[in-house]
Amino acid sequence: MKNSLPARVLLAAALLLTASYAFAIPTDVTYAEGDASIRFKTGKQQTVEIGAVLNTGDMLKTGRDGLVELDQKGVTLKISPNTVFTLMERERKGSTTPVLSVALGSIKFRYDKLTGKEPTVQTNGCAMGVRGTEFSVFAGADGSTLVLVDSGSVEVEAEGKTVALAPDEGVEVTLGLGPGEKFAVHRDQVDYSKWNDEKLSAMLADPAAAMTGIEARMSSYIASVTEYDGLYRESKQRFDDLIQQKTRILEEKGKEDALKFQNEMVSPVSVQASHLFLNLRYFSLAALSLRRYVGGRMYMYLKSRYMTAPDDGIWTEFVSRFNRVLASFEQSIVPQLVAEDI
Amino acid sequence: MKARSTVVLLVLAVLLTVMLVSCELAPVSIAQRIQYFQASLNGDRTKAYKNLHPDSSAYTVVGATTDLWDLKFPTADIPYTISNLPADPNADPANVTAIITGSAFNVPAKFVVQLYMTNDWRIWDIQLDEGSGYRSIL
Repeated sequence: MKNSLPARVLLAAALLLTASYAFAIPTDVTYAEGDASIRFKTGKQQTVEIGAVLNTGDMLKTGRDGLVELDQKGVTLKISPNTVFTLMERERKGSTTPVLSVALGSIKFRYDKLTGKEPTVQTNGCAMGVRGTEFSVFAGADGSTLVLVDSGSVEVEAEGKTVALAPDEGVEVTLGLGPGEKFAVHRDQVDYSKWNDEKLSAMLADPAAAMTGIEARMSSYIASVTEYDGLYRESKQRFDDLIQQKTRILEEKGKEDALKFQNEMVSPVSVQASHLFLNLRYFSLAALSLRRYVGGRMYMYLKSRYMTAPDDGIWTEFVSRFNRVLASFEQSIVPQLVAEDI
Repeated sequence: MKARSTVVLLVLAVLLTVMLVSCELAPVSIAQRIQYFQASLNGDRTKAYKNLHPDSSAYTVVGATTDLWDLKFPTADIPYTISNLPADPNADPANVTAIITGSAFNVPAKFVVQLYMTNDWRIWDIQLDEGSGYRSIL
């Protein structure tokens, strides 16, 4: 990395604002029916029951007939069938922000009142800053996102572009392309299943194009991971060198001098390196989610469709691109993961 | 014969209840949790995250990696001792002060601990004062 040390220190400070992690807001299950399960971050899995409590890192999945309603201290979340949803949290601008992550499917959010500390809602394709009191997020099988606002306003950000939605407005975000033009929404006339079916049809008609969006997003995650990995390795090397120096000081000059060296020289580098490491982990886990919930599912859809025609050009082109994404994922992301992540 | 079966079933039911309750009732006090964390720092660091509260995102983000622990608590300074805990750590679980010392490491620390389940205290946050005030390391 070519950054000067002050630049890197500034970067580390910026990382502190954007990529450290904080605390959970417990989320209660207030209604559940059909096929729905919770995978707790401890790895334990159980059927969703009314009264269950989800916390940061827990993932909720609904099947074909699953419906779940959650209450998160004034936010009601209605989880539709075939949805994968995870509670996360990040620290942004010095304060803790819950992140409601929709990997796949459809969720309707309703806020009883706005406090100014609304959770960020994110999909694989975009992040939403909530100013609204009622809106829906649809995460499609091809990684696309549809955001519809009933009341209040919502800011949708993707690929560096932001779109502000007012009541009865919506926007679609195509993976890798950012938000499109906003459009008027006729209340209750949007059918998620139909929209998702259209996404699926489009994806099945041109799987290679759909894979392009995933490739773009994966490339962006890999670029971040590569950048932070480089910065982290540099910082870690510097840390290791300082620790060797400290050990020599301890042997040659005694504990007092070694402690002074720890406080003055080692600690600042350990702060910088630990922030870089946490950021590296964040992007690695985001890439894992993209590969698992968008790329992996797309592959399964197409594999079953082309099972009897393995030499079909559409399938072979898709597989070629998919394998490319997989290869780059395995080369750049997998080394950053540990067995427990997978 | 029927009476014998009933007794066997009752004994099994009692054993099952004891097993379930003992899982729930394996209490870990705040002082014990911090002692376990100290043991993780001095031993298998891939297990250190298991002292964190499973509801904290640090539990997932740090996971079984050891980098964060190695950066904040250099392995060269093993063995670490966490001492000077308050006489009653439960008096303020959000502010359990301590001193963490190693061979050439001496840093004031604050632990934020929270209950997990009914009686298992877990670490929610660790703050170190490395010369510029307390800062979270998670």
